[in-house]
Amino acid sequence: MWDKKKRILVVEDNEILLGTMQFVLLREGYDLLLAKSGKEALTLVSDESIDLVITDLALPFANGFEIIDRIRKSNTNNQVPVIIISGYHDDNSIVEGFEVGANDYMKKPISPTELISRVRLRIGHA
Amino acid sequence: MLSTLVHIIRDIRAFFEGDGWAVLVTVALLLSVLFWTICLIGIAFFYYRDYRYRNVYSRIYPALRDFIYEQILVNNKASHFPVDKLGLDLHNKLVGNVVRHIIHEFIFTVGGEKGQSLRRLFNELGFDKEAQYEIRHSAANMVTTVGSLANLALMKVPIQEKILDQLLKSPQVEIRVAASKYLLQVEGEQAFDRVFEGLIGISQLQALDIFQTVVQGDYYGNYMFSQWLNVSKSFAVNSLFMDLMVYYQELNEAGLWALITANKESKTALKAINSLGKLLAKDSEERLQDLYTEESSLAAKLEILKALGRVGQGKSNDFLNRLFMDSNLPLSLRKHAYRSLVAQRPYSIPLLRKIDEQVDRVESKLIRYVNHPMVHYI
Repeated sequence: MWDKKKRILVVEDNEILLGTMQFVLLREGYDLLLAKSGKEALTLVSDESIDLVITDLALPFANGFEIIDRIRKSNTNNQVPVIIISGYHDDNSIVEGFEVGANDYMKKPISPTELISRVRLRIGHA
Repeated sequence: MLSTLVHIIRDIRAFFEGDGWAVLVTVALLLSVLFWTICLIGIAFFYYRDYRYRNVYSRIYPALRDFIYEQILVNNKASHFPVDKLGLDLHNKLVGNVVRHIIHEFIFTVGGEKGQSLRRLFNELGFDKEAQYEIRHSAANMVTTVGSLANLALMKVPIQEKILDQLLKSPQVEIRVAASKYLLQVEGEQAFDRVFEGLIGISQLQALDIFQTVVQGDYYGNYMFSQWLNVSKSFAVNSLFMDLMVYYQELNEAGLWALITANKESKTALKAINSLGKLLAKDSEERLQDLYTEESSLAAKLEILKALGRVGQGKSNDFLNRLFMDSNLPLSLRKHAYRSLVAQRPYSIPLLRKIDEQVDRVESKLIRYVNHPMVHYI
């Protein structure tokens, strides 16, 4: 019996960071869903089954906090772990991130190796 | 004199009575055509430059991205990158700019050891030498020098001590600020003395820039920023140190009072009063009240009232109450006196209850305004 690959939703509007995360996570064997805006992410959250969400905070149409809030209120993916990746280094953003329901917070620039470790910690190997 | 004037007027009249109008219209038309032609050429040039940049970017980006993925993310290379494989003509200015831009973007997004490898790749492509060359010729182009210093700071490339010293003493303030920022980014706390000693003639915007550079670093220590406060320094410089004192919670009441007493109505004094409040200078509470009675300027009085509210030790409750109840005072002062009383809770709760019982219609309106949740306090 084949195990189903773990599926990660990556929400990031920066082409370079999105590409880099896509590259390192695909290499690790995860299945990926990519979104470049809050709106795209919200559609995927309501339509697809997801094991982990990695999201930026500053996004077009709906910001990271709104996405997490919608995830926590959704019927399908409300228990999914969420990792925030953000350029906001201030305490308020970090605290707010955890308050809306994020499980982890990484500050940009991110280390790909660290990202993989944190993803494995949340959902295990692919 | 009068005859000359009459002569000129006659000439002008003769000009317009003859072929004058036709000549004037022709000249105006020619100038108009020339103006629009220059505008169109400018716009076309701008679009062409942008088009070329995007063209080169779309050609280089996939190759450079794959190179970075392969060498840094897959092969874990940290130095000695096979840059010849890229086959880029870095002597071409446009290609150089595009490559530099792409690597910058990667460095801003990828950190850790991989970020360090990206910095080394940047240097191995020869951009550090280029930047080093540009800063040696600082007088030639200030903008290039500032850009090169920013590049070197981002890549943490060391600069020769002699050159750095020249840049820190440059007659151009922009270069001095860029060199200071370089030092703060590369050396961090070690550079504080050297940078702060040479801060002269900076603008408020540049002071803010330096403040951002300091607070974005990894510094969490207990450096004495207040040692650089000086009445002879400009507002921008003193303001920078006061902002740093507030950010790192370094309370030095004597230093701030020296600024206040030197020139009571200056912007520096107002900022110092503000900083006393933000640093919760409890020993200054009585002295601030005394200063209020000595001061004549409304701006200074408002700052003092705000500071008293922030200090919030309850020692100035009666003083603030007196001010609020004084109907002869300007409304703004009474409003801030009440706000500061509210901020001194729980010490001021009995007094606030008493005030609620005895206020008239105007005062009650003022209280409702201050207590309204949409009104931002301090």
